[in-house]
Amino acid sequence: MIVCHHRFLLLFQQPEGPVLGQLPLAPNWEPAVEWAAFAALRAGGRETPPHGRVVPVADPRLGLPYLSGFRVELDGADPAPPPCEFPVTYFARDARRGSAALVAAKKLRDGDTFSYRLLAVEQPEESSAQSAALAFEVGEETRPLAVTNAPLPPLFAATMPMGETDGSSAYPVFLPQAVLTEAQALVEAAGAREVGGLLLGHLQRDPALPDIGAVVTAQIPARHAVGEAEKLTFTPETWAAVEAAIRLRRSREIILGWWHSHPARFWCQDKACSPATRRACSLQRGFFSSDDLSLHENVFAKAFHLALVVTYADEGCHHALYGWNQGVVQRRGFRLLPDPTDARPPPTVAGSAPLPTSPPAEAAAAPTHTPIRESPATCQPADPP
Amino acid sequence: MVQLASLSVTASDVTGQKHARARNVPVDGSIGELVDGLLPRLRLNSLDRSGQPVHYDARLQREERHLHRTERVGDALLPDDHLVLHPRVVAG
Repeated sequence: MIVCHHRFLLLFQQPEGPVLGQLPLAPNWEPAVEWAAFAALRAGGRETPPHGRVVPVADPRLGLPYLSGFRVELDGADPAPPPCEFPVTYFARDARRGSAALVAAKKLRDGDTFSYRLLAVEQPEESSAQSAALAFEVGEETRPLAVTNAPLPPLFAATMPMGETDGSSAYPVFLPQAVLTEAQALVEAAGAREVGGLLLGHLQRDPALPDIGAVVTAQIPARHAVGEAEKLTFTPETWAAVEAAIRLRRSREIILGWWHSHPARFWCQDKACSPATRRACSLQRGFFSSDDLSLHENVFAKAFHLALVVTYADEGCHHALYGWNQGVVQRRGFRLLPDPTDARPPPTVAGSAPLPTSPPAEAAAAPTHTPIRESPATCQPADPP
Repeated sequence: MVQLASLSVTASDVTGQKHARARNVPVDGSIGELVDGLLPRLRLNSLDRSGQPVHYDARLQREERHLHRTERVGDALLPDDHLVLHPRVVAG
């Protein structure tokens, strides 16, 4: 159960300008609580169920009701783990949604800069685990997370970093090149259709550090998934086939995440974009769509869950890994375990520049209005430098 | 002949990370009602971000088959059966 005694809202204004409006929030606290529980486990604490309280953190300059963020206080561990704090950027997507409404109301124009503040006001106790009247009782059961104890330094020594990760909070992810190679082969074979699969592996705890790393061992193709040009449907039969494959492997692997493709080279073939425009198009450079985010939030809600996107661009395939960071899904780096039998150069990670891993720039004090990308098959202008 | 009025079952999400137990489930209820009751405790969304319903099939581990929503609990399940909820979800 997640308890919160406050109502949260965002206040919008233009820099040095008047207040534009406000947006009441109905936050999903689960990613924050999951992140807090995983952070406590990584720090060597005991596993706790994802239950706790959400408490506003006052802005040190303005004071309440203005907030610099919130913190999660977990239940169920003795001694209690330290509270885990979350910045205002936890609500960055809500801010984009609110800005879209302001654009629709003609209070903002596309491309305008705006700022937003987080506020909280007290309200009677509210639980996020409200259930309708049922004819039967349903109780959540807590099972221990499957974690193996083993040192992480040998894995660090055997792998190379790909992209950058916020070292202060992100957990290490070890990904074999063979997994990327297999996924790429499936993507190329599928051509214009999207394909995908599941990432299997282990969580490995090093009590000496202390920390926990995600060690990917294999990918399982999503059989019975329905791939189309711009979407991939994971059906109930897909999950049944994956469960059967995991049982057959008998390696005590858990599902660490999922992967799927964006066949971007086929999306805009009938448009007369120049090669330079196509190279600069964000569709070619990789992205995580709103559908991808929805799927990840619903199915892969644990803090260690990962999503790999293989973009089949004009220049070939490149990869981008996404994962939870402080309750928000972000692009992140990983450590590549080279395949000693493969003489080819390492695979390409999306974009030649280091991967952005810090909180999104548009969530900072003065973002510009950027609509959420709903459909991948729309040409997107290049992001500003 | 002894007949159960209700039974208990366990359930988990597709990643095996979320678990719940349903007690006193009426045998004359439907699998659909059971699935709908399990979703909040498994912290699984019944709607996606665009407000469209997310469809879940209950996979009965004992028989390795997906149950129909209209099946009767008393016909399909035995006490302490385990169900895994399999969503139909779309990546973009």
